Amino acid sequence: MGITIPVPVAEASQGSSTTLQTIDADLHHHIANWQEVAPYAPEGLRQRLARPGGPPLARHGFKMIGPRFGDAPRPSDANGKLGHPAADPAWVKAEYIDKRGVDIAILTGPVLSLGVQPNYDMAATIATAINNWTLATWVRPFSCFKGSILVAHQDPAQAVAEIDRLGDDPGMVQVLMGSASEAPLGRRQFHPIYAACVRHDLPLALHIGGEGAGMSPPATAVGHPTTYFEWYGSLPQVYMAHIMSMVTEGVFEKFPTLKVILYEGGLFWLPHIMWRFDKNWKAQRSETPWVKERPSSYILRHFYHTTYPLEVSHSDELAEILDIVEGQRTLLFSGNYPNWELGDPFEMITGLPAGLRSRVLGENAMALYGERLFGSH
Amino acid sequence: MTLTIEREVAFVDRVSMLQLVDTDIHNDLPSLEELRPFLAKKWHPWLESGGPGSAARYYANMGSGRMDDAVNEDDGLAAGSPDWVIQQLMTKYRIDIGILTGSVIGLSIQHDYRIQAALASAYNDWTLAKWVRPYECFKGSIICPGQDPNTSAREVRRLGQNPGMVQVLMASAARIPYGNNIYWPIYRAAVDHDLPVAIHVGSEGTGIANPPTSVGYPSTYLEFHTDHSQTMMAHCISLISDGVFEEFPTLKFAFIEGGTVWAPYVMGRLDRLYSALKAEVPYLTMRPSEYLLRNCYFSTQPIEEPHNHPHLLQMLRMMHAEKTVVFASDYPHWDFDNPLMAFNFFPADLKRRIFVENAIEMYGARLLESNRRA
Repeated sequence: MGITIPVPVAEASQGSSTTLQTIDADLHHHIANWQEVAPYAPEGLRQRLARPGGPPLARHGFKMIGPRFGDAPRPSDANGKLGHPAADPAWVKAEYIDKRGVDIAILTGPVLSLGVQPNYDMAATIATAINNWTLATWVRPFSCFKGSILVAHQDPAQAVAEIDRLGDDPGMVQVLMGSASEAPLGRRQFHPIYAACVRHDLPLALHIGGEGAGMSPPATAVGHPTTYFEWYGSLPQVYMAHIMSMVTEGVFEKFPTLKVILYEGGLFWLPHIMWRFDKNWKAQRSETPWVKERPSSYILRHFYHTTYPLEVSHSDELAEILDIVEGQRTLLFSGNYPNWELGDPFEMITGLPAGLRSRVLGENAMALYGERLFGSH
Repeated sequence: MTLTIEREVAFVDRVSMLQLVDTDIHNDLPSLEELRPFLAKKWHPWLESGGPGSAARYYANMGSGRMDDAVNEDDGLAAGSPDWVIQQLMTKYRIDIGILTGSVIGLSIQHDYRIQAALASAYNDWTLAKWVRPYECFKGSIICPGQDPNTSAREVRRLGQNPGMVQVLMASAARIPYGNNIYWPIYRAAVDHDLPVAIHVGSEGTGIANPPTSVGYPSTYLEFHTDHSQTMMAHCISLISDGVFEEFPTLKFAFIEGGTVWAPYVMGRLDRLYSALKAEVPYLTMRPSEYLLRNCYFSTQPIEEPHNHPHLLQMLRMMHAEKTVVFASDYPHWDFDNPLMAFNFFPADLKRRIFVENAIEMYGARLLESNRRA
């Protein structure tokens, strides 16, 4: 597609003093062959990763029907057979990063359901293996890729150990957990994970994908959806539940510097939850005296959102909601490469209000991730 | 003479005389014993045992959960008698018609569906006898055991012609999303009798219902109560995406006490998905937002309260509140919205739509029919 969007003069002049950067907060690199990942796993469970087809993983039955990857570029071999668009870092750099003018892409990987896998040790082992493999094959050889420390949060002790192991690696810029969870993330058992994030000055990224799989409760609060369409449409509710939980359990009083990124959830639901929450808090706050500010101020200060997929691309409504939820600070560009079934990520942001484009494309991410984004590794 | 005049006044003129329709009034059942006359003999042993076992939620309000200033010293209840509610609510806040939503909605997530169905029928008859027939200002809801769709459908058909009953009512707490076709017999019966179906929050996570969120159980009432709207969103998405409004194009569905301004999220996200994923839902013939705007209604209470009032109006505009939002007070519960205060910054025409006209469109002419034959 490759649509070029001219940057308005007024916007360019009010940009930051550094060179304008395009930061893509969400690139799903792919494991084509688990046998290449297995050697990066600790001994013991290594042979389970090397199984044909990869390790045993519980999954849900929701599947997108129709052509995969939308208009994302696809590699093809000599016989014209199409390959996976995100399996080879050099190819991804050439065909996506360089062609679309992305400076830095944050890798969010292929496995987003670790936190609801029943075997804690398998889940932690897979996380460690993927992290090591990502660093060795994607991050170290290519300065345009940054990694996420993937953790399986159902066993906080092992998650914390993994964060401490890699937390100061200059190639890692955030901690990543699947949002699917047996319990809401404000619960006290998860606080050591947040302490580790703060200790290493790493934002916490939550990503949908495992909802309804493994130990996850049904993917909605009223039971299992019927279709992928219904499942995907409902997923932001998972984020709502986590937000309620983290605010009411005082996570942000305890960890005032913690930042949380909610991937692929949109943001049109934020006004409702902020205002419902504030209203309830006014009357019920004696139940949670540690929640000192009105809930919406924690929500606005601590949560970030991504562009793929914005609910709407072209309308006054987008500008109005961005204004209401202070999206000028908290919205990050996410390419969601190569899962472009809902459209091209750059086209999705063509309707951003003037003045917000450079913030969303790069400045907000730079402010959030800081120096680490540009350190050599 | 009154009768003659009523007959002569045209419907539109009667609507124009209305000031306010309240779609959510929780009348109390002072004692289970009041249901005895309406309950078949075979169920009476349950009454002697104080009623069936009843799963109860942990989450409890920090106060009494009601408007303490509305409690009647005679019975200790805020809505124990029709006359008291007329005095404390209808007269005080200038409400013309009130829809009774009762105090037993949660029976649709109790485990023993047989006794719950019997109690629901008795309760509905009790509502008609005590609250509706003697008073023109109240209308009843056909409360259904949603966990048993076939029995629910029979109950809708039993009372569906009654001019005193204006909607079907179930809990938003559920085991299975309401779009699923196991529930369609209820909707078919509702459509046959031109009745809207309403769902109401409060029983989330109780009995046979799913956990109150898709990631498990909240810890506190504050969290629990704020989470409620998620069950509403999930049902709304389910109804649209499972094709309920395609199968029943005239079905009106109301979301009571679950918030309003999340509708733009549902419309935006589903429309975005629909343009790419039609192949999975080929039975849908319109964009998801079109179903929502055609078939769904949202009640105000607890109306979202931003610090910047115009923000609420902006969000309401996005969901075409002038067609989709109806007023509710939730009397006598703690988070009652005072209609004389809460909407003062609304434009007059929007307020009129929310206070009267949308309710008329949702409930139809039945709302103004006399209860004498109820």
